[in-house]
Amino acid sequence: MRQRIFDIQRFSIHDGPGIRTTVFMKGCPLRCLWCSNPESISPEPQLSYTEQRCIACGACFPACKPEALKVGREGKAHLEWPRCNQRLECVPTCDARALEAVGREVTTEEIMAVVLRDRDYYEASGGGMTLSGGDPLFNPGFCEALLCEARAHGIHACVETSGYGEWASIEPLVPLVDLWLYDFKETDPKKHYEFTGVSNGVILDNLKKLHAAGARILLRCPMIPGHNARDDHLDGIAAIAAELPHLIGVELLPYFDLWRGKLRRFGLTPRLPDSVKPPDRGTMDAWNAYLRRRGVKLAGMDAGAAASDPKP
Amino acid sequence: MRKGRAGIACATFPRPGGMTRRTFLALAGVAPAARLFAGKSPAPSVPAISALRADILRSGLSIGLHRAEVFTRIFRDNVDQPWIVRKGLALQEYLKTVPLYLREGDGIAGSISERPGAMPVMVELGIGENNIYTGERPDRKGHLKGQVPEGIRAFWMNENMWGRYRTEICGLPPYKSPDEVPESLAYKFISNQGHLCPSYSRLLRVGLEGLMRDVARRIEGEANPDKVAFLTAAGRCLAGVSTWAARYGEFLASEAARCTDAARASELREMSRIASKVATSPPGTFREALQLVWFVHQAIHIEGQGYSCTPDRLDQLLFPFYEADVSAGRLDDATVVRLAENLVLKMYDNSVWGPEHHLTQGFVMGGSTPDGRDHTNRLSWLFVEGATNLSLPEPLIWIRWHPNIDQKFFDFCLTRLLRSTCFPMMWNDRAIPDALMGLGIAREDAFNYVPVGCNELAIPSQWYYNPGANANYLASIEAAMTSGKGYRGQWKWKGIAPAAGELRSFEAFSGAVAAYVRRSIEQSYGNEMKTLQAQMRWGVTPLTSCFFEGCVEKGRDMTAGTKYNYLSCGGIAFANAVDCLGAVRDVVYERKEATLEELAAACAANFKGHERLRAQLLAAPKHGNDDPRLDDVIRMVEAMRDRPVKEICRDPRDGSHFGNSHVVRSGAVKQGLVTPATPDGRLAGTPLASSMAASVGSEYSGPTAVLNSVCKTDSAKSWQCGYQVNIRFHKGMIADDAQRQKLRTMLNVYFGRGGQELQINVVDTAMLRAAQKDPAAYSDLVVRVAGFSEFFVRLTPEIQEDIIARMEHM
Repeated sequence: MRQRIFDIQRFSIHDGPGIRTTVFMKGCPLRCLWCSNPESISPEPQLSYTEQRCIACGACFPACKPEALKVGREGKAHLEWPRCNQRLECVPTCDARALEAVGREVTTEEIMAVVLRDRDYYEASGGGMTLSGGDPLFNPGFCEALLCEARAHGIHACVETSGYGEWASIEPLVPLVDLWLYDFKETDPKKHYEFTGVSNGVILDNLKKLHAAGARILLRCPMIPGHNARDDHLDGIAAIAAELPHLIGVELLPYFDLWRGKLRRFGLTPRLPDSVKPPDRGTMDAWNAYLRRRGVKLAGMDAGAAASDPKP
Repeated sequence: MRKGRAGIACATFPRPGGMTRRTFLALAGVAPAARLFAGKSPAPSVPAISALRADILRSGLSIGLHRAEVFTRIFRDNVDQPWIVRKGLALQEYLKTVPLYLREGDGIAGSISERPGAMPVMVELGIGENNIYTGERPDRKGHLKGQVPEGIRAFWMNENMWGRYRTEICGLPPYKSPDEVPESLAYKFISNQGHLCPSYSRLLRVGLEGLMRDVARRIEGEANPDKVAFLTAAGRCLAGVSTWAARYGEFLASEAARCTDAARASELREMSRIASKVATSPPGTFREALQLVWFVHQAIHIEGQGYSCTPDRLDQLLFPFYEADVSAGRLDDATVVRLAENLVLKMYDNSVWGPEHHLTQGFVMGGSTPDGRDHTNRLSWLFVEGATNLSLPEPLIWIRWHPNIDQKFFDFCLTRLLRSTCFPMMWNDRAIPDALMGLGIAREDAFNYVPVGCNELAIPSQWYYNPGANANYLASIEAAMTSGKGYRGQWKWKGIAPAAGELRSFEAFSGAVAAYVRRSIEQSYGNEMKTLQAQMRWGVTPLTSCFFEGCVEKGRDMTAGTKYNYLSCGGIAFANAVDCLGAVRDVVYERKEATLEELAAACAANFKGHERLRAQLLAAPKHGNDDPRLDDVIRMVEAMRDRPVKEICRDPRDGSHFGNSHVVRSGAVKQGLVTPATPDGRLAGTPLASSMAASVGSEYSGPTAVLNSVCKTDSAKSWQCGYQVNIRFHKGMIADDAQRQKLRTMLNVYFGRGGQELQINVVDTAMLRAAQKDPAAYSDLVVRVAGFSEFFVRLTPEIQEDIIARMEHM
């Protein structure tokens, strides 16, 4: 089975317990304003252009049928994004890897070959594999196949998801996933629609079903100033946590704006205004304290570890 | 979802994919350790130590001539005596007459010269700057000029080890004027053998008196004139050290009498008592033992500069004294930490040419017994604590990891990285003893190993590291591509391998490289054996020999042979060599993008006009990324050196085989400056790989991939004498308990799988700010960010700011 991914990252230490390898899949049903990996949204491969890498060899110009690539300063390629047809015919001509395709098709075997390279580190640290994206649930069949392989090799598996999918396709994953890193972005359904392009009904439904099915879940809530960073949303989080007693915990994630700079590589424009800034540590502490006062169990990224003590 | 935290960095240097929630955390790279100290504020345990540290750092660069004058006079007055006797007489006379001093706040007596900050010149070895030093500090080139009087230089120009090596061994015509002597000489011609570790355990048992008695007993009835000469010299040296210590006893008493500060006066009186006592008697307390070790260790440096000299295993050696003192209520841990700090400062102060240059001294803590028990003791903790309080680039601090290491101690050591930025460095008892036993070293000796120098290995009193050949990989690759001529037609190598045009397969090409590597080993072996002859005749060290097993018993200097005589074949730029071969296979033989001749032309032109070809070379698989496509190349590059070394190289003294090592530190930057562009895509003049794990800036798959790549090498068969692996992390990785636990776990796995060595460099914001202000001083600072690496100073200001901003969030 094949799937388009846009990266495999080893020594991931913030995407679940222990030392992990994270597989980033292409394709996401949500359109979050603050999306940090906007190149992951489309399931199709897309062009990335990094001008700094261009060595001004000129090899790409003839390959670009719509003439989106033009001679720019210092002879480097200048890319007029609106003209780009995303057929990626320029990519093979670029030895300098200034023009690259985001997204490559891989098989579960190819992914596992990389994942298994760090198996000793997972075993010693209580780590494993994390499926991320995009949203892994965008292609549940592939997830299932990959998770089956991980299980067969005894690799701890996390799935990081928005939870937006059909329960019928999520349910088969339940016995294969050791820990769900389940995003919850907004309590108010209307605002959820405004921020992400979808309502949160399905997401909350699936969360409850997962909980009822005995899944181990860490609820992760991004805090975006001026958007969902509101007391009523924190109250909403607390209410869910109260309703779902077996949650491993809740983790608030501060908004980071360092993704902005990469948009240009994909010819994209930011949808979140510049005025939205990351919260400082004090603000984060206050939000965490707010939840704690409401009886919410807070958990860090190492929650849900299979083995918490490293073996010598 | 929150994967965007690493955004900006990737905006400039994308890799094919995306980024995780906080990919930015892991930073790995290579840079000389010393670079990392700028801007660090030290935190010694007491103000006196802070003052001493400041005093030492303030000392400028100056030359002390007392040693040069005494040695010249004694050697001139005793021409009829054997060389070694002249050396012993001269050292004794020096120690009898050198003016004494003690820095304010110093609690350990004994200095390298007659004046604070002044460095002696080892005239009987060679008068010259250390070419490693001037390679690192070109601005300091010529600083010795005019410092040594003409008369002394004229006396020695054909008379010292360098002069005699030239005329008597190389058959070169004598110098006519001292000005003909080169300004810079290799370390082997201005120092003793270097990379060694004396053993002080017998010294501590029987004292100087006991050692002198050993020599006196041994010389009785000895008829062999060579042995008599050695023993005479050894006796003179020991007597000199004893006199020197006794003189300190008197000097410190008079200092105490003059001192107006009651507390300091009392300490000086105690120091005076200790010096007088250990001048002859064995020590009875921790402080007495430490002082005696320092007297001898310092005298060993005076005898022969002591390049890369490790003072035995101090935590093991001094523990009985510590235990006895503590149970008698004479000593507390705070005092031990202070003395450890003091010792570290003494070692730093000892560096020839002062704080700018380092002798690569260091000491090692912990380790396992041959049967796997943990040797870590309370002193191991206290020494690591004291040493890392100081934030100095030298001495180096090492620990020995083993499967049963106290994980609390290991964690403590990792936390100390925050203070020191790169210490302690780590060696692995699971790997090193096996490699040493493979050479033929007995198990109990192999488990007593110590690191020496940048990162070489030795065994106290039994084996010292001495490079006896060198595999020049990059020149060999250049030769193979140019039919033995070199890019500039600078070589005339003929008949070694087929011409470049005939190398029609990668196997033929790698075979040609191997043939040139073999030739480079043959040549360097020949040269190094000449140097060894010079060391054996004029580089003798009778004092140091008293602390090497069997020398006094056999009546011969350590240069004539120690218990084990395994010389080493070094090599630098292992990672570049792997990358070069991988790139040639990929670009020339598999994808046929260029011929070997075209590639050679591109390298010769430093890729000017060949940018596409360079991009293709850079895109080829790179060592350090756990890439299976290079697995066979790694073994191939190891074998290129191992086979000829096994066939060609033998120690001339006892026929021992050689070991292998990866020469590190200065070589990478200095050699890089004079190395043309290489087919891995590296530009001319840029640093070579100082880490054997990856070439500069090319590890883009994270630290586990780096460590896995290292574990693909065969450390027991190919790296018996050591290698170096650098890895870099942001301080957040160390400061955060949960992250540090992951780091420790990763290291446990790496060492458990047999990785020999690891050095962690810690990066923080202050350092990056300093690099922005002074890019030249940080030209080799590499940051690895979200899967790519780049020289920090080459990043655009915006990207630098983004990196700093991100680090602040960690």
